[in-house]
Amino acid sequence: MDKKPTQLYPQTKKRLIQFKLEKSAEIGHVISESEAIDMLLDYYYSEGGKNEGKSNNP
Amino acid sequence: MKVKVTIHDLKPYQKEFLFADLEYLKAEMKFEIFENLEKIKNNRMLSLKLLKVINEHNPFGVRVNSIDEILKTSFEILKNINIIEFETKENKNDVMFLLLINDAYFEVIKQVSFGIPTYTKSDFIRKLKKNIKKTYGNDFKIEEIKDENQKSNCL
Repeated sequence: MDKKPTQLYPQTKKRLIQFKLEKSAEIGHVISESEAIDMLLDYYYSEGGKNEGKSNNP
Repeated sequence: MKVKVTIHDLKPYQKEFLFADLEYLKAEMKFEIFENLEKIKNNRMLSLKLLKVINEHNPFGVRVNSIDEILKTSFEILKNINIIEFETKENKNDVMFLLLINDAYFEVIKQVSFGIPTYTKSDFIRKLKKNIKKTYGNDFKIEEIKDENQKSNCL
């Protein structure tokens, strides 16, 4: 069973629930906390995630 | 439903947390509806009942064959509907925020629970009070703002 991330910072909690909302609407079923975290981690370790936050300027 | 909350003597980092918490609340309430709708999908009897009702009352005559179709469409629609809005006002270390909750939220929760007693307006206030107390301490005031003709109810 999912445990709600009560120990997370409010900003992190906010981003996580917004992500769950977006993804659930996209795929048409409710995703769990752990699924959402896995997806976020996958994204982070993929090329897209690695490049995130990098400036376009050299 | 309108709820006015004033939290006194907040530190700057607590103010930042509060604004994030309000955004969290906004998304959480919407997600609760998603979860309730999903419960119908997982209950075969309720799914069939819902499909029957929809197909009987569908004014376009288009037959809906699966509950997944309904859910996906509902999620897409709900994603773009604002269930709760808020306005905030700061006065030195105090923060006042006004929550404007669409009454449809409570109605939807009631409907998708198929008569099982669920979340009411007073449950919402109770939960809000509990969460504020836990995170920001005891120095706060919650007031439900009634319609113009009614007096506000200090909670």
